This record gives sequence, structure tokens and C-alpha cells, in this order.
Amino acid sequence: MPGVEAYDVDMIALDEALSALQVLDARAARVVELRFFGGHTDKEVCEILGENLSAVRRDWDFARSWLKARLDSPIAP
Amino acid sequence: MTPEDYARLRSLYDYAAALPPEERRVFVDSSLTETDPLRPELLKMLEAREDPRFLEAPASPPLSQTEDLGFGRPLTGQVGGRYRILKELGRGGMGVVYLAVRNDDVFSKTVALKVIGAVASRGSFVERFKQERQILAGLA
Repeated sequence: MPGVEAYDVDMIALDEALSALQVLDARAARVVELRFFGGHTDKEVCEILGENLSAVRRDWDFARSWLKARLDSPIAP
Repeated sequence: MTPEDYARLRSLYDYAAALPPEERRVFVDSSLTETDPLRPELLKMLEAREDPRFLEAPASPPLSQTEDLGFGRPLTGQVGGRYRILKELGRGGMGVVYLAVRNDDVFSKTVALKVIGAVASRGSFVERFKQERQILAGLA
């Protein structure tokens, strides 16, 4: 798992933050699941979710920043 | 966070992210008052956005099969690559999180492993990790 070692992420905190995101925005959370945990490309994520590329990229952009903000300093979900 | 706050944060962020970087601060200042509870969060997210490394490299190799989304037998006690799975921490709609420990003499490190549905249910999971380990061993 080279990704885990190249940039250390607190996986338990990530999973908690992702669960909070799932409640608010299931599709954005699913994009993270597919890209980060599933290793899928943007285009594959589009096909799986039946969404267009720009929507998937916006979801990814938002979700990544939302999750990182929570991992950097825990704030209320 | 309420669904209403989330929807507002989402639209503010999407708008700001589409702007040239130097215009984002002006947008935030003109769209949210100093006391707006979403303001610190929006600024923090725009700052977080500038770190390209976060989540960029996938945590696991891509899946080629997604045909089976049910969860099969637990993986507890099994070995996946360098990781020995100790116990299940939790499961949700999309996968199972396990507590695992690095399974070699180099490090003793406890990690959380998330296994998404299609893999969690597949008997070939451990086999695939074993094959990858053998390929790596062959290269060494």
C-alpha cells in the first residue's frame, strides 16, 4: 500500500470524517470511497456513479478539502 | 452540521474553488460576515485545498471486479500482504474497517484497514495479496 506510506493519513479519523460526510452528502463520500479506497480514476468513478466528469471532480475537490479540514483540527461534524 | 449549513458551505466552496486563487479571499470577505459561523470552516477548507498530497495516492490497488457487493465471512485472523488483521472495528454501507498490525519484523505498527464491499466478500482477497507479496519478493 504505497499510498499509505507516502503520505500518512490517520485512517481511523478519516473513516470517522467520511462517515459524517456520508450523512450530509452521500455522493461526495462515495467518490472518496471509489477514488481513495477503491483506487479508481475519475472516469471510472463517472461510469460507476453515472455522473458527468465535472460533477465528480467538484465532489472530489470539495470532499478532499472538507475531510482534510477535519483531520487537521477536529471540528464539529 | 445541519443539512442547510452544509448546502450553503458546499455552494460557497464550489464557487470559491472555481475562482482564480487570488480572488478567493475577496469572495469570502464579500459573501460572509466576520461572525458567520461558516467563515472559519470555509477558509480552512480553501487552505486545505492547497495540499495536493492529501488522499491523492489511493490506499489500495484498483479493483477490477465490482460484481459482488455483499459481505462474506470476516477476514479477522487473516493476513493481507504485510498486515495481519486483528479485529473488526466497524462496518458501514460501503465496507468494513479492521484493526491490523504490520506483519513483519521491521516495524510493529497498528493500522486501520478499510476493505470495501466487493473485496471484503471475496475469497480471493488473501490470495491476491499473497501473489503481490511473492511478486515483490521476486523483485528483491
